[in-house]
Formats: sequence, C-alpha cells, structure tokens
Amino acid sequence: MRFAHPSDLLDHIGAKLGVSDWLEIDRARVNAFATIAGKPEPQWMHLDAERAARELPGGKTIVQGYLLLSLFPRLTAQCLDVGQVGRTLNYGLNRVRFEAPVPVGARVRLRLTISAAEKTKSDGIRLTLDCALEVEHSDGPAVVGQTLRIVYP
Amino acid sequence: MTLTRPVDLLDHVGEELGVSDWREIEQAVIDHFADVTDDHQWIHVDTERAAREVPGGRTIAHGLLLLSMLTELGADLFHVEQLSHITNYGLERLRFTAQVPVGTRIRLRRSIADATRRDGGSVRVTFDDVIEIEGSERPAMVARTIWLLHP
Repeated sequence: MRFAHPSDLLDHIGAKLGVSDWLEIDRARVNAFATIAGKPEPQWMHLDAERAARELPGGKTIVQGYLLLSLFPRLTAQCLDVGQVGRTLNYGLNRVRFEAPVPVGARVRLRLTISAAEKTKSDGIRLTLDCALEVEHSDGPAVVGQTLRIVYP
Repeated sequence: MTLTRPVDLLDHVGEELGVSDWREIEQAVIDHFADVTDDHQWIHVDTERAAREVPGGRTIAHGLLLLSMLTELGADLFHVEQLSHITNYGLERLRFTAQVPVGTRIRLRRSIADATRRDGGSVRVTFDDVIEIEGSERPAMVARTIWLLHP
C-alpha cells in the first residue's frame, strides 16, 4: 500500500496492507545466520539434518525464530511504501509468538495490518503494525507479533 | 548457574543469572547481518556516509542484530545437564533504548522472571534481558524473552 506522506498513515488505522512476496528461507541463509547466533552445537535443530530427523517432531531442521523476525523489515518494505520519509526508527516489538516451526527450505510471506498510528511530539508518526508470517501450504501463521516504528517526514 | 533438569529452574524465579562477557560489535558482524537479512540501509553499512551524517560519525548496529545475539550472549549464563534442546517461544515488550555504534562493547544481563512446568518435564521460562553498553547507564535493549526447555 502506498502513502504519499507519513501523516496519511493516521487516516488508515486498521487498514490491511496486504502480503509480501514469498521468500524461500534456504539452507545457506540459515547457516549464515547461525554464525551470528553462536556456536554450532547448541543449534543442532537448525543445522543438523540427521539429528533433526531422529529427534524433532516433523523430522526436519527448522529456521531460527530470530532469523524470521529479522526478515520482517525487508518483507514489510514490500507492503508499506511511504513517501517523503526522512528516516524510520524501529524501536521495538510487542508480544511475539513463534506459533509453529518453519522447516528450512520453506517459503514464507508477511501479512500486515496497521494496528495503531499516532503523532509524536517530534512530528513523527508512531506506527504499530500487526504482523503474521505465513508458511506456504500451512494453516495458521508461524510467527505473530507487533512491530513498532516511528516514521519521520 | 548449573542445573540438573529444566524443572529445577522453578526454584530460581526472581534470581539474576548473571552477565555475559563483553562483546564488541564489529563492522564485519553488522555487514554479515545486513547480508543475511537483506537490510543494507546506509546507516548500518556505509561508513563514509555515517562519518559525515551520523552524530558520532559511526555506523549503527541493526536493533534486530542485538536481538539475534541474545542466543550467543546467553549461552554461558546457565547450563542444564539433562537438556535436549531449547525452543524459542516468543517475547514480550522489546524496546531498543539506545543506539549501538560500531566498535561499541555490549553484554547481556539476564534474570529469571517466570518459570512454568509443562508436559513431559519441559519448562517455559521467561527471562528479563537487558543488553548493556560499556560506559553507559542507558541500556541498548530491554525485553522479556520466552523459551521452552526440553529434557
């Protein structure tokens, strides 16, 4: 959804912004993220296919929850286009739940709704987005949560 | 803190687990995170433009990079002997409370806010997490993170 100016967001509280394109979370991305998250051994459920086949319900390695969250800005940008933005400050998250595991190799997309929008004292627009990360061929979202940002003209 | 079983966490609700070692945020880590998440905003990766346009003159770490480092920073704070794996359950009220310029050293201070017994000896634990900045009173990030520990 396209907004000509940040203040236009104030007129669209509750608006559905639609969904992003599908994004495949491939093995290379999961492995690359694992080097940020720390040592390989404790992350066997993300990295070790043989052990996952034996020990995890579903039998497949799964994508790190924080990797999924870290892709929200990129996926959000596909649904929310605001003109005349000077800068955007991502300042937090409210109530995030990882509701279902996402197997490595799955395709995901983000569905967005404007939950709240209000003016800040510094002429920014404080924006709360309801986010639901959907997995192809799955019922119900894998991740739900709210992202918080201030958009400055 | 070393525990035998996940359920032993129930005896330590309200206690601080401790603080991690300091960890410097290098540009290489920020660049790597930018590549993994496709977030190459100049404020994170363009050191020359940051030198000109950012107060302080240094690039700023992605907030979600700080969140993503929780797993590593928290790894040495407690050890459960009879642990199969940990599942990320979610989080409550995360706030990025200060910017972290490249070259800054951060650490994690973690306390046990809540712990609940689940089926099969599993435990849902809620941590109060604070990412501190060396030499600063104001933390970089505060959050409650929620995890399932499976025996």
